[in-house]
Amino acid sequence: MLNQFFQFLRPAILFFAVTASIFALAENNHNDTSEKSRHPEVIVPEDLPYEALSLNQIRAIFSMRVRRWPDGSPITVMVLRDQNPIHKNFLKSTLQMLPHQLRRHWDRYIYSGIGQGPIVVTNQGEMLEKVRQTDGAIGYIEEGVPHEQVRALAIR
Amino acid sequence: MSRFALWRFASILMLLLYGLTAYAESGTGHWTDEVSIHGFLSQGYANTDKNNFLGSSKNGSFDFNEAGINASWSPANTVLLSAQLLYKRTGNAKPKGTQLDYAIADWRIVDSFDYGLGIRGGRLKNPYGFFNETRDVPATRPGILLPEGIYLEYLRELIHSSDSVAGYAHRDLGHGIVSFDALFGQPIINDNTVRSLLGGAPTNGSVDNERIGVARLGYENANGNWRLAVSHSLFRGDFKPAPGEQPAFQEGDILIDQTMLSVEFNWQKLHFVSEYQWRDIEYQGIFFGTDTLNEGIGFYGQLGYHISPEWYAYLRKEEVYLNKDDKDGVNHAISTGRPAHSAFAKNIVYGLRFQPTFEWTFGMEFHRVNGTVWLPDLENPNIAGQKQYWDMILLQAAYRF
Repeated sequence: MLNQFFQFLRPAILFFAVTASIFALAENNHNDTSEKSRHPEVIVPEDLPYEALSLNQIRAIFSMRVRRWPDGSPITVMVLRDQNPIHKNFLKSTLQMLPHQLRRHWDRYIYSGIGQGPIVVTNQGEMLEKVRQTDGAIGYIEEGVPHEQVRALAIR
Repeated sequence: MSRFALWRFASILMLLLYGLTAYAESGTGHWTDEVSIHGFLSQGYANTDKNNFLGSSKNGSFDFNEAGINASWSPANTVLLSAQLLYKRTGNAKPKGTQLDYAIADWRIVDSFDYGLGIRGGRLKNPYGFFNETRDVPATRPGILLPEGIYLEYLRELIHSSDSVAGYAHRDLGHGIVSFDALFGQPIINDNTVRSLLGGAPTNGSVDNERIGVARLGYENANGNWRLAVSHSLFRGDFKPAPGEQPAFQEGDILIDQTMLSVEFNWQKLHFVSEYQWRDIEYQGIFFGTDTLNEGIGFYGQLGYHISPEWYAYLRKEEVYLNKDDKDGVNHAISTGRPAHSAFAKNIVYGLRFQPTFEWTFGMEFHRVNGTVWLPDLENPNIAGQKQYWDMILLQAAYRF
């Protein structure tokens, strides 16, 4: 019986994959037009002495590879939950990475003990508050969200 | 040996913790605010038509659990301390209880955007291939099980972790990041490992003076869409048979020399991961005073598709051979008296994974297997009765935080 099941499974998976690809492509095109206007911005406390960082430096920070700012003080990375649409948009349009790429790095650090994961906050309000209160913090918010005592960091 | 090592590292860790607590409390903030705690828990189910895998799976088995809890803390800018406890139940294998999975002191000497360099000591996960370091955490694996031929469960103790010292470095080249890890230390082995090392031979002998060296060179492009790695590990131990035991093995060295190439690509929603391994196992004088060399090879390729952020479907082909010059196992059958199909395994895996949130992972897999090289004798004590062709259905629910 299992034999017949497997014989059925191969064409079924193929059919499934092709159908899913078509839907995924259609969905992709749709997303590209609707999300272009709102790139999340990287935010840091107002007194952090850096104005701009390169995209690779931002990636190094959010992938948790680098732990310290150039002056030696610790970096504290804040992110929203993996499933949060703002987080997904931050990865896709600001970092230009696939969501599971960043997660892969974090998992290796968290579950093999050779590093730490980011601090996960529940919403943009908490993000703003924690970034403001924590020395050397870095996070992100949607463009256009009002923010005091935190500053957007330019990506050059 | 392993208990001694555990206590040794536990006490080193405690000393470090005490010393550094005093240090940290002299500064601002309380250290308990800075400890991060994570963990994972899983329940698996296996059902096979022939042969038993992960318990008495011919009748359906739930004897597959993994659980871990870890803590990490950075007492100073350049120092990171971490430890993890692990509980694992793999079929009918005698549960080993909760073990110290890792306990690490990490000193990051150079830490800039362009370069990183550091050293580590303690009980470390060996930097080998893409998946060894997190092999017990379901959400980090490319499927429910890691490809068995490559990440062989019965050699787990030897290859997985070690009480060791290590160095690591990475450099940002602009287009990507190159990284290097090297480690030297003592593997964590027990009596069962000794038997597994001798191909399942019923010995009460011991392995002493065991040591392992591991190195890995990796490259990953800047946005992480593809990566490559080459890893090498060399294990060496001195085998001594128990006095008067039958069959009469002789004293001698065991060498396991492994090299692995790893590659992973992501292109939009498509995902491809593959690893190829050369595994040479050499017994120097142990069997009838002569040297025996098995030049094994193994590989897998997995093609996956992210249907949505939550759903991932994959197809994996795996092959492993104990000896590349005896792929069909004819010579193996003559020299060991075991079935020829215990010298290889070829299987195809159809899998589907659902990750509704970061915390939850649900998986299902269908395995169609030809060969029994990674089938545990423990679950199938009638070795002559092990079947060459068998199918398996696996289910798993896993939680993590």
